[in-house]
Formats: sequence, structure tokens, C-alpha cells
Amino acid sequence: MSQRQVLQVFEQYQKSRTQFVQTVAELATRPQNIEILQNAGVMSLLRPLLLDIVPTIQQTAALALGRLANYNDDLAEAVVKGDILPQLVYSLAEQNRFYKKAAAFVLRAVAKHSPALAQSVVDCGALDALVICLEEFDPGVKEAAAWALGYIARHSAELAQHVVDAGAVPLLVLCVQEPEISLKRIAASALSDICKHSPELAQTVVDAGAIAHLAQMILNPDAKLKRQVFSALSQIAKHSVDLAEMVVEAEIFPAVLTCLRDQDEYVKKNVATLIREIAKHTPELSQLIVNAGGVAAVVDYVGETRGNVRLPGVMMLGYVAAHSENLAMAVIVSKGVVQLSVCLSEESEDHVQAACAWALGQIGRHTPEHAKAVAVANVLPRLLRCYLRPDASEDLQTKSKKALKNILQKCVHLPALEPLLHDAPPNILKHVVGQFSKVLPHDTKARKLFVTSCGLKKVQEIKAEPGSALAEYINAINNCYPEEIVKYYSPGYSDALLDRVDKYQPQ
Amino acid sequence: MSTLARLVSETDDIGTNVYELTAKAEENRRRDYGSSVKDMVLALKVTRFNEMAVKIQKVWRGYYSRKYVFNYYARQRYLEALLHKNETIRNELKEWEEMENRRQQIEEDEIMKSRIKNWAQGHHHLRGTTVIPGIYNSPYKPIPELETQLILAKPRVADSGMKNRRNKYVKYGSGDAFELNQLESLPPIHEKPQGPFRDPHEVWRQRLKPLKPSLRVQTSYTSVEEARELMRKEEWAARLFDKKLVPFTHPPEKQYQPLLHGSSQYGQIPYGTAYFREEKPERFIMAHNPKHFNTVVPPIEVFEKVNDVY
Repeated sequence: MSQRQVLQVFEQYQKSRTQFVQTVAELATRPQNIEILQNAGVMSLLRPLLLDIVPTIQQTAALALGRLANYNDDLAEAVVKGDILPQLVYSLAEQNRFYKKAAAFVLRAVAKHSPALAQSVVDCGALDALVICLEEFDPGVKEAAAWALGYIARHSAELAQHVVDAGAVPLLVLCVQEPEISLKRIAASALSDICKHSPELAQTVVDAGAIAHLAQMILNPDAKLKRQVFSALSQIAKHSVDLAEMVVEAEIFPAVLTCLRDQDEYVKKNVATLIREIAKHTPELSQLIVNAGGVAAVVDYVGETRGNVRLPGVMMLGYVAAHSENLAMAVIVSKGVVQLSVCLSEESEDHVQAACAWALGQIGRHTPEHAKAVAVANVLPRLLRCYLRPDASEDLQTKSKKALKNILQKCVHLPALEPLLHDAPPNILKHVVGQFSKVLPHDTKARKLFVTSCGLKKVQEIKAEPGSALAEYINAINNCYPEEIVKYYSPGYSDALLDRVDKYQPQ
Repeated sequence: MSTLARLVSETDDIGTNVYELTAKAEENRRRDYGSSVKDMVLALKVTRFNEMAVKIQKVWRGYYSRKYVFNYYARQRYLEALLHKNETIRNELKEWEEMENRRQQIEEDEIMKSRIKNWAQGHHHLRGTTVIPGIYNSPYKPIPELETQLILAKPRVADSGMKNRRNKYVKYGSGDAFELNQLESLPPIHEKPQGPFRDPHEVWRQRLKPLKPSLRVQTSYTSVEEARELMRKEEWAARLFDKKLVPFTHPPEKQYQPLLHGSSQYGQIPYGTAYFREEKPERFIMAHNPKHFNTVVPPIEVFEKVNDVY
């Protein structure tokens, strides 16, 4: 036996191991193969290969494991149960960058499924190792580590707190400043995942100086980066007035409005969410947005988008209008009511309709002038239709009812109220009749018009329980007309007349 | 008399009484009137002050409520300004969107173009020839697009193995997060092939070394002529006026008028300019018999050797 022949055996063995891991990694990319692989016991075979002496085999084995764990939570749990994680964590500190990347990929794939799995990743000490990876020179490794940290933090406030305690936030902020777009993207997404749970976590991110760096990337041409940036900013702004003010102070304001016209749907949605989260806190912040022309931009945005994407825009209009009558007037002047009314009629999903109804209610509830502006946009019949639709969700029903009530209690624009007399249910009718009873005693023209448009007749036909509010309102209306007219329009008056004809004796 | 005396005494009393009463009444009247006038003046003053106070309060209330409660005209102004602002923002956003769309369109076009170019380079062998029309050469279109692209494309030169291996190291970090670089074959057991070979990279570098010709080789052989030609052309092009400017004080000399006997029907005979002797070639001996006249005399040897020292 020569030396060559002996070495050949080793070479062959190495070759077949490589081929095995590569094939398994390749097969694991297709979902239909996963079950077969699992039944063939791929886990127990891949585990020793993680400790192989050849780096390529190690990396490929880790990659294959990651792909398997990525597929579903059963396989991820199998990875946890197979005690593979400590091995990976141990080698995260030791190995080369390719291996680190693959190991971080496995950790990410395991952590993404459920809080329990993420907790098990944390328990085996992965956080420290991942944070060290964030300090690596190679952007690919940083990216993988940031991604894994983000997936861990996304599940709950506790896990996010663990990530923060491991000291990841300053390093993530540094990653946001790196030149690689994909790294920026993932770091921003991780920051967003950390911020979303509680004001304290958001405050730690803000203290690390994230806002300034995030705000710089608002006008970046990369759409996916913008998505994450806006998501992070809105997650920061949503918690408290202070945080929202910090975000506003980064001078994002005229610039973010341009992104409402972005090509990417998600960018638009996230920007609208950001504006909404800022507007919802105080009248001053809303005023700032209004003064920057934000309402006009959002109204246009609501007009251009469809479905779920327009929801944050609709809610933003509602929040702004809810703060004060002045702001509600600003929404009306910016043609917000017309747009919301169109949106209410053309949207098919209940929750978007509910949001529209709520926003309209907030706009119309301030003064009669507001209510008139809402009523002339033909909103009331639409709201009523939403309320009466048999397949409407409970939320939509309550929201549209409340909106109707809010608007009706302020509305003195009688032409808009008239149609409601004919098809409103009693609990709405109460408010409609109530408004008539308030206006008619003081307005002669309206009294006459009320009779000629058959309103009075309709009112006589209402069967109100004596003593109820509705009955009182009807009485109040009847009191401002001569008795004959009221009688004339009462149901059954023609029969009474005929009876009198029968009883009449000519002299 | 007594009656008279009594009456007198009584009337005397009456007189004093009347006088006293009158004086008293006068006094009272003065006092009362003065006090009533005073009261009236006071009342008038109070009403006046009240009126003024009402006015002051009115102005103050108006000012206060306009400042702190609600000012209709200020709101109207604000709303108008807001409308204006909205209009500007809408216009700006529209412009921005158009610009962005254009940028996107250009980017997409560029990508599409490069893809087509790439494809055409790879499929250059499918282009038509004069004898066999290509499969992309549609007979129904006047200018088939793909065929044009194929004709325009430069066929791709096959990469050599060495280039591929170099690219592999370059490829890393191109963005795909988990594309590991997988070697197709195992790394060689011996790092270096046995034998006195130079490092393959060095050899490769030598092969790819750019050509460095000398200045003489770089210059064209006819460079001087070319330069002259170029200069001439430049001069001609830079000249403003083709005709030579002639001042009237020095009129051009009259053109030479050929003599009558110096000219023939075939042009001018150069007599007087090139020669002065009349030639009659038909009389030349050479014309009839070249053998009779030898222009070269055979050398005389003695004369040849004169003054020679050897």
C-alpha cells in the first residue's frame, strides 16, 4: 500500500460526507422533502457533522439544520431537544465567519416560531454570543446576528428585555450606520422589534441615539429599508408623548410626507402608521402635522390606496379630528370628509369601514357646523346602511351607531336628516326626531318645508311608547303646528272623516 | 281801641312771623335745593360711570375672548392659510412622485436592456445568416427586435478556468445572506503541485500583464505626413477669407503675356524661360542612327593613373 492509496480512502470519505450535507441542504429548500428527511432521521445524522473537522462540512450541516428548523416549529423543537443549540453557541465564538453566519441562521430559524423556542435559545446563552457577533468585522455575520436578535426580541417584552440586557442596542445602532443596505435593513427591523413592547424598551433604544440615524435614512431609495425605518420610528413614537416628540424633533416632517407617494405599498402603510402614532398623542402634535400639510397628504393617500393599506390613514384622520374642533375643521377643509365617505362606501372589509365610521363620528361630533359638513357629504345614509347590514360585524355596528349618534346630536341641517326619518330604526330615530323637535319651534321656513316634504306625516306614523323620549320629541314637534294639520297627517284621519260623513245628518 | 291795639300787636307779630317764616323757608329752600341738585349730579355721574364701565368691560371682554377663547376671523384666516398650504403640499408631492416614477422607469429600462443584451450575447449563435434565416427573424415584422439584438450583440468569449476561480473569492459578500461558498471539488491534499513550478498566480499575472510598447512602436510610421496634413487642414479651416487681400497702392503685376512666336497651338514653348537655343531634334544624329554617336568615350588608362602614388 502506497501513501497515495491510504490517503485516497480518507479523501473518498471526506468527499462523500461533503456530498451528503450538500445534498441534504439542497433538499431542505423544498417543503415537500422535509417530512421525508425528518422520517429518515436527518437530525441525528446532521448533529455529528456539526463537529466535523472540515469547515465546509460544518457550515453546510448548520445551513441544512437551519433550513429544516425554518420550516416548522416541530423541527425547530427537534433541534432544541437534540441539544444542538449549545454546540452552535459554543462554536459561534470559535469558528470562521461562514460558520458564524450559518449558526446564527439556525438560531434565528429556531427562535422565530414561538416565545418558548426563543426562550430556549436565550437559555442556552445565545444572546451573548450573538452580541459578540455584532462586533464582527464581516457585514454578513453582523446581519445574521442582528436578524436572530430581532427574531428573539419580537415575541415578548421579557425576551426583548433580555436582548437589551445583553447590550445589543448600541451595537444595533452602529449596524444601522454601516454602508451595507441589507445590514441597515435588518438592524432597523431588530430595533423596531425591540421597541414595540414597552415605553421603557423604546426609551433605551432612543437613549442609544437611534432616532437620528433612522431619520437620516428616510429618503433612502431602497424601499425595503424604508419599510423597516418607518416601522421602527412608529414603534418608538407609539408609546408616549415624550417619545413621539423626540421622533418629531428629528425633523422628519415635510420629508416623510413624500414617502406617502412611494411605489411600495408597505412603505406607504408604515409612513401612515408613523403619522398616526404621532398624531394620536396630543392636539399640539396633531396641529404640527396639520400645519406641515400632513392632512392633505394623508387624505390623498387614503384616496389612492385600497383595503388594509388605507386603514392607518383613516385612523390618523380620526385621531386628528378627535382632538379639537379646530383640528376637525382642518380635516374638513382638507376634503377629508369626502374622501372618508367614499372610502366608507367602496371598502368591503368590515374593519376598514368601522375605522371610517369612527373617524367620521370624530369629525362630526364637535359643532353643528362640523355635523353639517359631514352630513352634506351624504355620510349619514351610508353609516345607517353599515349599521343595519345584517352581516356587519359587531365592531362595525357599534362604531357606526356611535358615529351616527355623535353626528346627529349636533346636526341641525334638516335636509340631511329627512331621509333618516324614513328608514332609521327606533334607537337612531330618537336622535333624528329630537333634532327636529329642537329646530322646528324656532324656524318658520323649516316648519313649512317639514310639512311639504311629508316629514310631519312620517312623524305621526311613528309608534312611540308614551312617556319615552321619542314620544316627548314627537309632542314637541306637534306643538309647533296647528291641531288640524297634525290631525290631517295622522294615520286613520280619512277614516275618521268618513265616519263623520256617516254620522252627519243634513238639516 | 283795645281791639285795635290787640290787632296791631297781633299783626305786628304776624309781620315778624311772616318775615321769620319766609327767612326760614328761604334758608330751607336754599339748603334743600342745593342738596337735591347735588344728589342729582351725583346720580348722573354714577350712571355715566356705569355706562363707561360697561363700555370698558365690553371692550375688555371682547378682547379677552378673542385672545383666549375664540376668534372667528383668526380661524378663518388660519383655515385659508391651511388650504393654501395643502395646495402647495399636494403639488409638491405630485411633482416628487412624477420624478420618482421617471427614475424608477429609467432603472427598469436599464435592467431590461442589460438582460436582453446578456441574453443576446449568450444566444449569438442563433442569429440568421444570408443563407439560413434565424429563428428569431420573423417574416411578419419589418425589423424583428430580437434578431436585431442578436446581430448587434458581441458573442461572449468563453471564460478560462482561472478567471472563474478568481471570481469565487470576489463573489463573497454580495448580499445574499446565506449563500455559502461551496467548493465543487475538495481542496487539494497537497497545496502545491510537485515540481519546480512557479506560483500559478504569478504565472497568470504574467499572462495578463498589459503590453507596453516603446514610443517608436506606438507612433505611426507616417506620423509626420499626417501631422502636416492635419496642420494644413486646420489652417485652411481656420482661414477667414480665401482671397488674398491686395492693397490698391500695390496693384498686382500684370500677368505674363506669352509671345506670339513663343506659343503654339499645343501651349507655350518654353523658349526664353527654359532655353534660348533653338533645337531641331530631327537633325540629331541620334534620332537616325544611335550607333554613330557614343556619348561615353572609353577611358585612357594613363590618364587614370596620374598622380597615383601606388
